[in-house]
Amino acid sequence: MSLSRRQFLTISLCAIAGGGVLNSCARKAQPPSSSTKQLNIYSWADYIHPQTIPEFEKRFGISVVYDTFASNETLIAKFEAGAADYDVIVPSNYAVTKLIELKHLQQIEKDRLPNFKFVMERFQSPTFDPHCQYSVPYFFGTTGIAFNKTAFSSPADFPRDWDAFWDKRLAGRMTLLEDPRETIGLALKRRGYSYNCVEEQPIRLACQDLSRQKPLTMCYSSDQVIVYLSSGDSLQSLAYSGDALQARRANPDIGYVIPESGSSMWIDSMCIPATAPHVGNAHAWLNFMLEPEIAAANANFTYYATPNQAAMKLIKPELLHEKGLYPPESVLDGCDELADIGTAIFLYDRMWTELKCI
Amino acid sequence: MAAMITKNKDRQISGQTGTDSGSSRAKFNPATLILVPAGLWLSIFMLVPLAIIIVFSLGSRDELGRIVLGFHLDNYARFFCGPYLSCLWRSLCLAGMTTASCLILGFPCALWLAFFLGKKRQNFFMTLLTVPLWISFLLRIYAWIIILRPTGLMSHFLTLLGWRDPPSILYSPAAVLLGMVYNYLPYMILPLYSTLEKLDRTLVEASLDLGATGWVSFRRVVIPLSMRGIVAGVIMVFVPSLGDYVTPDLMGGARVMFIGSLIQNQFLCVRDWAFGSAVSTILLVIVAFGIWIYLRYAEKPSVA
Repeated sequence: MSLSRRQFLTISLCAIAGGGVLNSCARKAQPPSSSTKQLNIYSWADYIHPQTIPEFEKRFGISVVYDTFASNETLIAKFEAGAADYDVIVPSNYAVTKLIELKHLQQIEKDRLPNFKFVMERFQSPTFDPHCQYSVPYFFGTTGIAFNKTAFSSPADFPRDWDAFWDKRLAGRMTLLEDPRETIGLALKRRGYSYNCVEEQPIRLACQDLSRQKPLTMCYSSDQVIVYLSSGDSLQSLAYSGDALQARRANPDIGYVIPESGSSMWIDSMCIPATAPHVGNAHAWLNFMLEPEIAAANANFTYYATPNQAAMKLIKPELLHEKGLYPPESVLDGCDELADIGTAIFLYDRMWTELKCI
Repeated sequence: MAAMITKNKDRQISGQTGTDSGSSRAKFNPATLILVPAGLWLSIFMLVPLAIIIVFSLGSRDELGRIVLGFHLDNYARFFCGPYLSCLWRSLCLAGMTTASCLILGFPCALWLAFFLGKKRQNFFMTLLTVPLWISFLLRIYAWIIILRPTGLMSHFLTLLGWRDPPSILYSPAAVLLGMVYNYLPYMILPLYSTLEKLDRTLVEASLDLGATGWVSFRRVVIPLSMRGIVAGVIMVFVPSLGDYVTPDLMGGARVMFIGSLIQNQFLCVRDWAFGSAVSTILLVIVAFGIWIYLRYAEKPSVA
């Protein structure tokens, strides 16, 4: 989930500046003023309807500063480096766990969020924060197969399961995500293991499968998937649900399917950092974002799925009927929530590097 | 950095031949004060980070990705025992091939600029050479991607010529090399040109008068005399191309890992700063050692 909205340019420019990364981040973290009528948000790019912030500012008389990050890792790194000016942040599943463990989050006062009741029941108890003590779900989605319908002779040929990525007919025109958890995860799922597998042997097997698949891959990329799909460069991509649908906006031939053996599911949540200077305003924002009209407007704009039950009836019908975006319960049950896997992430990272080194 | 090294070398050489440099060393020269700004800059922004990197490289990371300071060589052992060596080897090959290609392509260009053009036109072409550097190099790489990708301009053009289903070279090793050579060629031509331009033309004429053919004169007069420019160019291309990770990642589709992307990955994705620091240190030592060897070896002919 992390990588889809990551802006590669930002990353590379930061990285070129080398050690400047944290410096520049810390500098950006300074809000223009520290008045009480202020709210500092740190979230993903293009992850909100453009009118949402003006509406909030008008209604509450609070001015909003919206900064963006490109990956959960960046977000965590910034808090580790001592960022203390943000009131609301939007991490994904395992990043919430990490931030809780690192004591960077504070408990959310539910009585100040009357609109929390609109959140669908299944999202009120995510595995990474079982009682939503620290987080309020914002968007959710899956990672599945996006494909170009023109590359297949008939709808019966459309990809249905992960095996599709080992299909030699599409050699050189497929992309996978530059993300060890997602890409190794799909190979694990294909073999019947979980995305959150922590044993060495299955992970090794999955990586062996991927190394056989590698010659068929055009590239590993997370930030360019929409471009590859809409231009037709990629005929089949591992993609986040929202990205696949955004690609369809430009190219109607794009389809999206959640594989039969299941895929990964992620939830991006709104959290309040322990150091937040404007806790009251942060709660006002969370409650505001949970209003059905606001939640629906954001979801209709970004093409990501809202976990807000009351907002569902305001979602554009063409999005609502999209099975890849709002999958039936049964399909969601077959998906794994990407969980924090502790030190097993070392295994993933190491094998991922080995895969690239071959 | 390369220029600095060559300059230092110059000073050493002139120090060896000069007679008055030794006596002035004892007395403090106020003119040395002009070094203060640059000296401060270097020590704050280069030596301190360098020290941090070396300290970090001896530590490890905890479960949450935080750095734990320590004193052990595990990270170094991990590098030399894992698949990372092939990654280093691949990077060395790529940097070597990039440097060689730039030299082969750049030398004739520099020669032509310096020997066969009038001063005015030289300046014009030199400006032309630096024009691409005015644009961000990421934009230029993206331009190549637009040209080379499967549905890009190149395959469009080849299809128009009647080639059905032309292969796409983007995300192949050839594309990586192309991108690297494209990026670093100006850095080879510039030092070569400035050396060749100052080269004493009469020496070439003398060799021709003494019966050397054009080729022999080029090989035994022009090349030895331009050695300093070649060394500067080679270092200016080799060093940054060894650490470059953006070009291989974008043009190669991130399918293989180079040493630069390995380091970037450790810092920004995996958050194993200790291992990333160790790899950085190893790379630094290799580059410094390489330059040292090369300078020692390459300076000899021009001194003789």
